[in-house]
Amino acid sequence: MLEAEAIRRAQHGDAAAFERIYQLHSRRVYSLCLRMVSNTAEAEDLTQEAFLQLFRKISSFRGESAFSTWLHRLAVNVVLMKLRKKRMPETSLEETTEPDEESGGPRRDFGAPDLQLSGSVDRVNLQRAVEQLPPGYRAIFVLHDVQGYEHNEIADIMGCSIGNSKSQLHKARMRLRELLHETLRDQAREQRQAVKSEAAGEG
Amino acid sequence: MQEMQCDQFQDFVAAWMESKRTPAAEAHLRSCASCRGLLADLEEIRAAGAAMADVDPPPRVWASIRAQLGQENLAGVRGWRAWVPSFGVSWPRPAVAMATLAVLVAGAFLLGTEVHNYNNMQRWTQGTEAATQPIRANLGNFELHEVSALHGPNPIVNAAFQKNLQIVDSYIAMCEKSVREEPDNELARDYLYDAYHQKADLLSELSERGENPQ
Repeated sequence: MLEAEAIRRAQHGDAAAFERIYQLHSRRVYSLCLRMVSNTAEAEDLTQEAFLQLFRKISSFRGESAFSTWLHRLAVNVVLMKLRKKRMPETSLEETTEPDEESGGPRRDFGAPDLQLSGSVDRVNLQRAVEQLPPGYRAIFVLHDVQGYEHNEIADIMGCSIGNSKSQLHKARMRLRELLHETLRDQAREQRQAVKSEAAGEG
Repeated sequence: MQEMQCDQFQDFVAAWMESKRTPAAEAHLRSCASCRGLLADLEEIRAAGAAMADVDPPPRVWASIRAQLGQENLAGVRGWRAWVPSFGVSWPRPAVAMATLAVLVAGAFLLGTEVHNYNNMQRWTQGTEAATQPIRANLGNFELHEVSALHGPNPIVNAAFQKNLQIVDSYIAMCEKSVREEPDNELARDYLYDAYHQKADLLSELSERGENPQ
């Protein structure tokens, strides 16, 4: 069953069509949720909620935007609502006092990191850093850099301008860079301490 | 050509990453190790993001959605019946389904009650088996009666029924195995209940068809 046919049939309450739509889109939606919350149980709940909202509203889908865009907008909203409710702590970095445009909190200085990431960004480090991004940055980074959406699609999904999407993506990457450098510094510090402890043990 | 400074390059770097180039930016990059470092970091972050693969959700997500759709009656009049896999024949609505479902619902209630009362896994398993015994017995009797009465004139329908019965029986066996292996898994119990439910419905359909075989 093609997507258009599945949508049409789902709008008339066809159970098999619901399942087909889920099969077509669940991987993308679940991955988006997982990258946004970094917790499988929460990602499952959010995926479930996004699809339930979709199926409840599917009769109102008129095809003004692509179905996947419509679904992703719904999923992003579900996730952002959840994150706002949780009010997760966003970062432990030193903060300056100038307000940050996206998060409303104090702005962080990106600074000039003294190390280079060169090859040190693995999946675990990156996911941890992504978790610390403000939700808006996180959504745009995941949609663009992880899921490969273009800025015009992200603008549709997020309800913002293309310029805003580009600007937020840049800020998200800069914040990630800072967070990843912080991780590198921590790891380097731990290694130094381990060497010192070893040396002290031998001495 | 006016020389570009670091802060100007940092404003330009997002455009650079979208393949925009200017002679001033290129010249600055050649001469500035710090900005080359910045660009290399950002490109590495972008590449690491792109390397994060999509992941399939576990099957329980769809099971939960399906259950909720059923509860909200969002799947229309066909309801959960439409989820039964690949039944080759269109069976009429059951005449005796309500009576059978009442037994199943009572059984499921017993199942749930037993679960909450046992902490010990072994005792829980025994409880599950005991709690589902009336369901299985009912289904067994029902099946015995209906299958033995299956002598309709249409061999295609008879064969389709037998095939469907085998599918549901396999499904039940698989669910029972899951419950035995994971006695504290609530979802496994839901699946098992659903499997019994499907078989009851199939037999009910057969019952009605048996009254007017074609």
